[in-house]
Amino acid sequence: MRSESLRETLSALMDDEAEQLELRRVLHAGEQDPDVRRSWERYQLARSVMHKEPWQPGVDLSAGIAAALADEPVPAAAPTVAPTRWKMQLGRVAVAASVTLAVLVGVRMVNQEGMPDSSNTMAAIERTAPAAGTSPVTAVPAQARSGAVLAGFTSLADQAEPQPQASGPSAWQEQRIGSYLRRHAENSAQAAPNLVPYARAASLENN
Amino acid sequence: MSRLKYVLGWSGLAALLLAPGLSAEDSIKWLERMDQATREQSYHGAYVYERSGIFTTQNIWRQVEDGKVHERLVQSAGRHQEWVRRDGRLVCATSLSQGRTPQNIPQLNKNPAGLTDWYGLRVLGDTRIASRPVTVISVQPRDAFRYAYELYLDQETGLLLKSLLVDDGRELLERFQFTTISFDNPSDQDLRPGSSCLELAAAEDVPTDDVNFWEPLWLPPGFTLGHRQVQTLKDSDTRIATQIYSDGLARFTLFIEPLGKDSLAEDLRAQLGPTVAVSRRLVAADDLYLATVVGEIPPITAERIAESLSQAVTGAQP
Repeated sequence: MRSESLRETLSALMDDEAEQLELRRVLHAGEQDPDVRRSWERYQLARSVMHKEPWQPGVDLSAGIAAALADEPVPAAAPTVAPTRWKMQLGRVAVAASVTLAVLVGVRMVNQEGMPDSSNTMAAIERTAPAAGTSPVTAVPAQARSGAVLAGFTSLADQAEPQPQASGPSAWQEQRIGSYLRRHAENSAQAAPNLVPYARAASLENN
Repeated sequence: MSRLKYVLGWSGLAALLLAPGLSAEDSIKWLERMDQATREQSYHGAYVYERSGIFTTQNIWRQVEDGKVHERLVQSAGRHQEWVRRDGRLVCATSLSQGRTPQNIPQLNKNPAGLTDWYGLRVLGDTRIASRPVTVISVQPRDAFRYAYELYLDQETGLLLKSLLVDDGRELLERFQFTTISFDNPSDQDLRPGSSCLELAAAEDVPTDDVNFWEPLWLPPGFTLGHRQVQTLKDSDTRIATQIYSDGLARFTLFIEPLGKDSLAEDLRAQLGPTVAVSRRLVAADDLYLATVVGEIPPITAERIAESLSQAVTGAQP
């Protein structure tokens, strides 16, 4: 199945327009192709952001659609193996990057503590952290974010979780980064008074 | 589809080979018109702004009289939010998050012709934005230290009606786009702030004595220091050395603040849509500092600036 038409089906799935047959096709392709699965997650995130819904990174193709297909014959490649592989992959990325969703909507923080020197640091981070503009959620461990977590919302589950000290920036520093992002936005709005810096600065107030 | 791309690609290349200089010259003229429109044009309209995690819609009324700019922005979806600016400075706002307070920052000079050293400029063609004919200017970085822009300029006035910011992986980082615009002069009534818009006190200058301004050993080519001052944040009296750099299009701010011995600060990187923030702890003469580079630049650029700062500080005080 070509990835372009897969994307279209994924998009249709989000709009609840996909046929049962298509569901199965996507499910099957998702098992074989992590890219398809990532697309699905991005669409999910996009929809939840638009609707301000909590988003669950744990919800994936197999889990989300399994119910719909419960009484259908299972495709040959049993989904018992594949999801495990995906989860392992997600977990590995998460541990390496230790990403924290923070106060500002859409902000991603990567703790760079204990990284050796600069050249290695960049390489390591560029490999593990999602590229700018892609979904931050691919790097969030499914098990650690079992509750609904959307950037900008602090989940109770997170607070209750005993987090090791090294796993994220201190609350003070998270706040500080937020302040610096806002201060930079306002500095820019004045240094170059045009609408893009204004809109950027204004977008930081939407929390 | 692929055939079409092929044809478009080759015809684009042919156009490029035939008249590269001309296209760059045209682009510079367009960018100069854009700057002029930014200074002189009155209008009102509605636009959308989109980046990761955010989609906002706002109305703007903008009046330029005798060189004085008066602007009112109102968010048109969700919570009512309003901002009023005079000559770029915030004078009233419905809410202000910590850190986003008015500052006394001078306008940095722009020189579109100087951009060609760092960006390839090209006129891509014509299209329509907000029901108006626009000319599209492509601004492609010549190195990996900055992002690419696509600017859609109103053919009649030169005003920026749409702007895209794109990284080297062709990923869209930010979209700004007018949906409607009118070039009538807004009335005084339109510019009057609503009752929920709270007046803001003008920024106070903070004394700069005893504050260390360190220069990074490495700056991305073309970036120069535009302004330097000491700022404070609302909740503390910590004096933060603030330096603004620009290449004429992209900007970053370097913040350096002293850290207490027990501050829980770490080296980290944060990404918010097009904006990256990289923090590094510095040790200078037994004192601990936190340096943070914030800007619309690729993470690798911000990292390198921050790293070179560590070297500058260590080198200066062994």
